Amino acid sequence: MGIGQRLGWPLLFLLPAAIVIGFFFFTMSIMVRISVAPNLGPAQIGDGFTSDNYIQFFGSTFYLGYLFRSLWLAAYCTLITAVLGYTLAYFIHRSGRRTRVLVGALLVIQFFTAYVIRTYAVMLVIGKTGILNRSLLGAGIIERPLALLFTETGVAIGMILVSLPFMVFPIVASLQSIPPNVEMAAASLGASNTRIFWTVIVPLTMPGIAAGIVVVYLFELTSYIVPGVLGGGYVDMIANLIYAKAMQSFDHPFAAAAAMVTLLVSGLTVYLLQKFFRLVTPRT
Amino acid sequence: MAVVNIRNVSVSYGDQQVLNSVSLTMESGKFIAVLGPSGCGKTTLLRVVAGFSEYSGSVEIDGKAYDAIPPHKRNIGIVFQDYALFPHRSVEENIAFGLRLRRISRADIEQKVTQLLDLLQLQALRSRYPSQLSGGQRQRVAIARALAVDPKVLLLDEPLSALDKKLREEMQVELRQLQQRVGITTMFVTHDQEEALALADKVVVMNKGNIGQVGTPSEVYARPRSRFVADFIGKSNVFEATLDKSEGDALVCKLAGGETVRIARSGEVRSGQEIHFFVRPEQLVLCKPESPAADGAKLAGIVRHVVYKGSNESIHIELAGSKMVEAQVVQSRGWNIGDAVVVGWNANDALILAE
Repeated sequence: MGIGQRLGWPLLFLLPAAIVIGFFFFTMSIMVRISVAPNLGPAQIGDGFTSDNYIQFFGSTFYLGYLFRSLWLAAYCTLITAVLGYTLAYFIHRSGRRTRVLVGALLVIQFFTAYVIRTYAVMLVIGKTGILNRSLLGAGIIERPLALLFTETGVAIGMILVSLPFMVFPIVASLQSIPPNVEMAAASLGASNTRIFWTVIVPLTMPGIAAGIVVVYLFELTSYIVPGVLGGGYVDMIANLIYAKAMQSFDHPFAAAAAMVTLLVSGLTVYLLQKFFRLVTPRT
Repeated sequence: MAVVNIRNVSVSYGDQQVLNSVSLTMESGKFIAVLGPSGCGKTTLLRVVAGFSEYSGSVEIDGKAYDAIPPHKRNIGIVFQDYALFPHRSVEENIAFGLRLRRISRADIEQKVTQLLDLLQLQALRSRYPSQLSGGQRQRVAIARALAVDPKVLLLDEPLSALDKKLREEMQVELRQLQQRVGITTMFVTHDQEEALALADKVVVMNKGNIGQVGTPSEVYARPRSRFVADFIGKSNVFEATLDKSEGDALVCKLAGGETVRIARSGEVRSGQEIHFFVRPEQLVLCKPESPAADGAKLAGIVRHVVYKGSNESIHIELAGSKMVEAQVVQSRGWNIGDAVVVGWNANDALILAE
C-alpha cells in the first residue's frame, strides 16, 4: 500500500509547502542554467554551455577577494555576536521578570523593524556626528571623531547589532530549558559559580549556541544592505558584487555563477559547523 | 556525622515573612522530617541550611558557624524533588561530579563511584544517561551523587513526591535503611505526613514560617500541641467545649449543644474555661442506639457517608448542630447511610489542644 493511500486526503495539507519548495527549486535551476551560459553582452544570455563564468570568478583574485573578505568578516562578526549574544541572553535569563520582559520586548521590536531602517539607525549611531562620536568627544576620551562609517569596522558593528536577536533568542530558549535545580545541585557538590558556568550551563546551552551561530553566520555572510549602506561602496561583500554584476553590468551569467559559488560555500560552511557542534554538544 | 544547630533563623522576601525566628537542633545521625503544607517555609529552611537563601540568625554545624560560608564550600548533600541530575552526564559521571572537583586521584574516584553504584544497586546503569532512567532510578542516582562527597548533612527536598504510590513506599523503606547504614544526619522535607511518620526519628511540624511542634512521630501523632498539628498529622475530630469539673483522671465538660462528655485530664485547667479537644477517627467508638456506649461520651448521630478503604472503613456522621465527625472502623458492622448511631470515646483518648 502506498503512502498516499494510507494517509489519503491529509496529504493535501502538504500542497502549500510543495508549491513553495517546487518554486524555489525551479528558480534555482534557472540560475544554475544561466551560470553555465555564455555572456553575449549586456543582458544577453547565450544558449550554449560554458565554464567561462566560473573560470572568470576563480581565476581572479579581485573576485575571490570579495568571497574571502565576506567569509572572514562574517566569521569574526559571528564570533563577536556569539559572545555579546550569550552575555545578553544570560543577563535576560538571570534578571527579574520585569527586566526580562523589557529587554525581551526591545529585542523583539528591533527584530521586527525593517532591516533597512535598522541599518540606517546604526548609521546614526556610528556616523561622524553620531551618538557614539559625540558622547566619546564629550567625555574627552577621543579628540577627533572616529571614522567608523564607510569602514570595515562600521560594517562589522552594523552586522553585529542587526543580527544580535538571531543569536539571543535561541540561547535564551536553551538557558530556560535547563532544569531549575541543576545549578544548585552543582553548587552543593562543591562547584563554584565559574565552574558551574563552564561545566553545566555552557554544555547544556550548546544547542542554542549552535543554532545561533549557524543562522547568524549565514545571515552575515550574505549581507547586502549593511555593507551597502554602512560601507558606502568601500566595504562591498559578495552579495554587493553579485548585485552590481547582475543589475549594473547586466552580466547575468557571471552573477549567477558567483551566486552559485556563494551558495555552495554557505552550504559547506553550515555542514562543517554542524559537524563541529555535533562533536562539542554533549549527549543527553 | 554532624550536629546541626539552627538558631533564630528568619527569612523574608520583600514584606513576606517566610521563616519566623526558627530554631531547631538536628542530632548527629538522626533522620529529621520537616513536615508542613506548601508555603509553610520548609523548603526555605532546607535552603538556609544549604546556603542558598539569605537569612538572619545562625546555622552551626558541629559548633562551627556556617553563615558566611558559600553553598559550594558547605559540603552538604542535597537531593531535589526533580532530582536535578546533569542531563549531559552519564550516571557514573553524575556521581563522580563532586569527587572530580576535589583533589582526589582517578583510582579513588573510580573506587568510590563503584562503591556507591553497589550501595544503590545501579551497577547495570552506570553508563546510561538520565533521560534513559526511570523516576526511581534517577532518584537513586541523585542520592548516590549527593553521598559521593561524604557530606556532613544530607538534605532531601520532597524526593519521593514524584514517584507513584507503590514505588514511593518501597523507596521509603530503602531510604531509611540507607540513611541508617550511612549514618548521616538527614533533613527530609515533605508535605506527606504518612511519609514523615514512617521515616523520621524526629518530626518537625511547620506552619506559616513557624515550628508548630517537634517530637518523635508517636509524640506528634498522639499528643499534638495545637489544632493545626492535630489536623495536619492524621485526621482528627476537634470539639469545642466548656470545662465543668475534674473527676478522677478525667475532666467533665459540656459541648456547645449541652451534652456532657469526659476527656483526659491534662495540665492546669479551671472551671468555666473554653477549650478545644480532639479525638482521632480510629478512636471514635460507634454503637447502635440501644447498646452500652464508651465511658467518655454518648452523642447521637446519623450516618451520612461511608467510604470503603479495603482494610478499613471511614464513616462520616452528622451530630447535633450539624457537626460532622469521621470515625474509622476496622471491621464493618454494616453501617449504612441514614443509620442512627451513638458516637462515643474513652475519656483517655480525648485530648485537650493547648492552642
